[in-house]
Amino acid sequence: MIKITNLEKFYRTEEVETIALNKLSIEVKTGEFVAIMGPSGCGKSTLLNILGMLDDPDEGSYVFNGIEVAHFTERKRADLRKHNIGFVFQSFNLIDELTVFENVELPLIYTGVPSAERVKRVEEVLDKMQIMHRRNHYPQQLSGGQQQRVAIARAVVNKPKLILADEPTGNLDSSNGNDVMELLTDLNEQGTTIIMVTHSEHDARYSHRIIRLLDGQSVVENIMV
Amino acid sequence: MIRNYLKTAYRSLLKNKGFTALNVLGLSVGLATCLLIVFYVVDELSYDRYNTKADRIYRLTLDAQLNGHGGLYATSEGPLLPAIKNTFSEIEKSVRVVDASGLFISPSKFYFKKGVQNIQETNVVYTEPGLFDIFTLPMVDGSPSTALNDPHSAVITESTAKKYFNKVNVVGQTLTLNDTSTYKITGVIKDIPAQSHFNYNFFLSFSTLPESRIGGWGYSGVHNYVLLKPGSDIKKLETQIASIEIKHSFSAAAWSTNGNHFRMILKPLLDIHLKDDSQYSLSKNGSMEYVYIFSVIAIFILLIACVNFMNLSTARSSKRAKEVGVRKVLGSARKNLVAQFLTESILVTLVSTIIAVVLAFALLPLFNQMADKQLAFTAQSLSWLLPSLIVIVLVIGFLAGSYPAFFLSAFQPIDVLKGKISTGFKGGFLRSFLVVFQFSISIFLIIGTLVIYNQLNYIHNKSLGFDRSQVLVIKNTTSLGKNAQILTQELKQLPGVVNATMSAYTPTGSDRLKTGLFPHKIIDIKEDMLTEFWSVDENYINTMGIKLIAGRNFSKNMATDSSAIIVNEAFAKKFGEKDPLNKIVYRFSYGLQAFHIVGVMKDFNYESLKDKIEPAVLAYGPDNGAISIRMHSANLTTLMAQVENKWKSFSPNQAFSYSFMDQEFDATYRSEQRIGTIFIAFTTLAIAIACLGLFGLAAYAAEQRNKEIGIRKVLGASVSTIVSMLSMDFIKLVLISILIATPLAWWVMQKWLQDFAYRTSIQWYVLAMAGAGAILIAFITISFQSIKAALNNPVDSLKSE
Ligand SMILES: Nc1ncnc2c1ncn2[C@@H]1O[C@H](COP(=O)(O)OP(=O)(O)O)[C@@H](O)[C@H]1O
Ligand SMILES: [Mg+2]
Repeated sequence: MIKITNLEKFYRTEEVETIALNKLSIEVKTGEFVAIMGPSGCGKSTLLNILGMLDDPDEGSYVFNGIEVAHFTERKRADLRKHNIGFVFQSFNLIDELTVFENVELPLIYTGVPSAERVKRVEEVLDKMQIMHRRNHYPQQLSGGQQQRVAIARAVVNKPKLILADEPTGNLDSSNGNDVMELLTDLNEQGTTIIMVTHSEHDARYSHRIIRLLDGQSVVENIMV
Repeated sequence: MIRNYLKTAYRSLLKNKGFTALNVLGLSVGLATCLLIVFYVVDELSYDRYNTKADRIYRLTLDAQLNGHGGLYATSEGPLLPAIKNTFSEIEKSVRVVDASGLFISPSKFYFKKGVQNIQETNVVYTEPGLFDIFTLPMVDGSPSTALNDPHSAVITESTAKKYFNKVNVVGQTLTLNDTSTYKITGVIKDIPAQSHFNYNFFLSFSTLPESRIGGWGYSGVHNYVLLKPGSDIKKLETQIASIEIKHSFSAAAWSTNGNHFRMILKPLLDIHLKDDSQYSLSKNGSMEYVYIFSVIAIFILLIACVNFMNLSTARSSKRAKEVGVRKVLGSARKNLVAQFLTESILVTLVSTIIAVVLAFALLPLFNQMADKQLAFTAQSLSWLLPSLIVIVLVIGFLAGSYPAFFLSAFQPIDVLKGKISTGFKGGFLRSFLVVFQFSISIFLIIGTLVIYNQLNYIHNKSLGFDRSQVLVIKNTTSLGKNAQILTQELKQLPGVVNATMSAYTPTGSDRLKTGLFPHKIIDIKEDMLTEFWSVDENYINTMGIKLIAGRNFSKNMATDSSAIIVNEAFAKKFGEKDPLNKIVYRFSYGLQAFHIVGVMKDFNYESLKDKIEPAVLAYGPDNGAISIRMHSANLTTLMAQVENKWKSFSPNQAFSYSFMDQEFDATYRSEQRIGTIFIAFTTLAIAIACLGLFGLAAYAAEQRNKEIGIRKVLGASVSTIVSMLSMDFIKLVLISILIATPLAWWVMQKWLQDFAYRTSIQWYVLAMAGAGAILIAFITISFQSIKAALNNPVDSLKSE
């Protein structure tokens, strides 16, 4: 599903140039569950953002489902993204002014799903995440674990082929964290490809494969058994 | 402590350069506009206050209605003052003033000789010595008590003395008027302040005039002023004077029958400039209405600017909430925080005020030109300006700073630091209300401006019943005597001249003559048909392009035409005969005269379009007051030169004085035109200031919602979706403003239009245009910010955790 080759990403500020990704090559197959690990600042988020087409690489190639997207325009990337990729963040990134229901409904609005269909699908996914009873609450009224469930519900409501999760358990206690990991595992078992950044070896064990990054380069790949 | 506040305020303002710049810009432009208007208003209100006895000076004003016409008159009868001044003990002093419009035996045009040259002067008046007892007109040379006693004496102003003699002390010198009479200069006074309802350069002794010796009542072209003793009973005096006038009038009984009345009003001097609607008033241009309108506009603009300030400060409050929290945790008391915030806003106001003063000073000449004023910054204006500016700085600084100061400082530090107070941008009801307020004012002003312009346009293009294009009016032809007629004939022969006519009465001119015509030989005052009565020649109708709708024009070859008249439709209507042709009407002045109607002409507008067309009659007889020629020439310059040459050959010593009829017509509406221009300027400013605020608000909104925008983009929102989402919040407010302002503006402007007898109606598209314009302007303003926000990379906004 994903094949990146010699991917490079630089950040230039006035004084320094940071090489966030340094000729990185990785392949992820459809249906895989991959964990990305590494010390802070090694380029994990940068990689995830590029994979999620939120950012574009400076050099190298990125083939998504057989299409070279490295130098797609913003508009094309956005189009591809909203139909294929769901995001889960460490800080949930729910919109404070919208209810649980409305937050989950957003991706469907942006992909032009008709209203009746939207209600059906949002309720379906809220049900699955067991937060249906909170549908009219605002994010501030929920616990961290509940918020992350909403975030995951929002990520999957469009039935994306790929879910990118950046430290999804980072802000959760271990019990809530495990719930989230179970959810991701379920999704993966139903066929969704998952790429997850994590600092936790425990969480990484839910995946099939761990890619370890150091200074923007892949050092080891552990296959889980 | 204060120093610490100032230091912190200074740093905080510097750190938020954009915010500070927006505030200072909006506030200083608003304040500068306000200052200019305040100058204007103060100037208007200061009229005639240079008179030390101003509160005791009154002008006799008639309020008369007779058979459906009449009104207020600033002039009253010549014999009136001598009859009452010794009768009523309340009257301390009195003076009669006669300007050109009050002269009917003596010439009413004034040419003074300087060397060989005759200079026309318009600021000439005949008056009595009492003038200097009543009005404060300090004499620098000569004796005020005797200066105007003798016939043929003159008092002139300093600048006039310099103009004619190059020096000030000219008592004893003589002036030659109209080549015929000489006046001895008996006094020189200081120039009259610009803020005076009359402004004359020559005061000639009234006793010179034959008019002064008219003992009989009926001569009513005189401005009568009295100085009353303190504590006089004005109402009683008014009734008493009226009864004396009535006693002497032609038919005392007529005034008390069917709706007729005759009253005397003692008009306080200080009301004359702004609150005087009477005809023949010596004052010009002043109107309380405009003083009110401009004052309101000034307050509006200042409010808009203040609202900006408040809005931007509160919008920024979320950013500062954290600062407040930290400061409180570190032990700052609430009052310290309040002081800190107030120091900041007062500092901003102070800087803005200083810039505003400089700006107002720089714009004063432009404003003067627009408003037709001679306003100036003087030491005297500084004496009231400085204290009021200090008050303004404190009040505005306090007002604008109060919301953030008291609101923010009340935050509980724990809540702020835990992020519990999201100080959500959307919650700002006050802010929404203020934006609606600003835009309502702006939309109101836009509609006002459009309506004024439409009306002016309408006037400009309205068919007037005569053709004012390409008509040249040569003035002051009276001095040519009989030769004026010959000049008219010769001008008519010039190539390029289509027609020429001789008459002082032109549709766009100021010469008018009202007379009463009667349907029956036995004069019954109740049947008085008051009408304009103009002496013209047989070429008048064709030269002016007036249409005859019945009968015929005057003819040279009809001996009986010397008593022929042509009447307009309004007269015909008043006359009431089904077929007015060949009917006879009578006039009773200098004996009974009979006129027969030979033609009816289409109504033409000879007064301002504010008034309905009143009856007018053309009579066949020579009047050499002016010559009008209709031209048809590609080369106007050459033709003008030829016309001027002709003039020179007839009148070598007198300047060629002329005007074009279309320009005269436009001049009638100069004050409306001026109001229009000023309105446009103010509207533009108000909108610009409101937009500055909106610009700032949009920036904060975008900043506040930065994260939300990021999330939405990650979830697939397009740039246009984001832009419209961000804009919609504000556009909604503008829509509400439209709903509020449109009916209000419609109602007010409808009232304004009532002033015009001939007016446009307010079209729906004017309202629609104003609304659409406001939305468009608001949208463009907001778009800058929302597009910028929407184009941001969501990765950046989501990272700042
Ligand atoms: N917008 C940016 N500007 C400059 N440097 C950046 C930016 N984003 C990331 N970096 C730098 O790139 C490197 C990789 O960052 P990131 O991918 O966020 O690391 P991780 O997620 O692994 O902690 C870091 O050194 C970081 O400082
Ligand atoms: Mg990271």
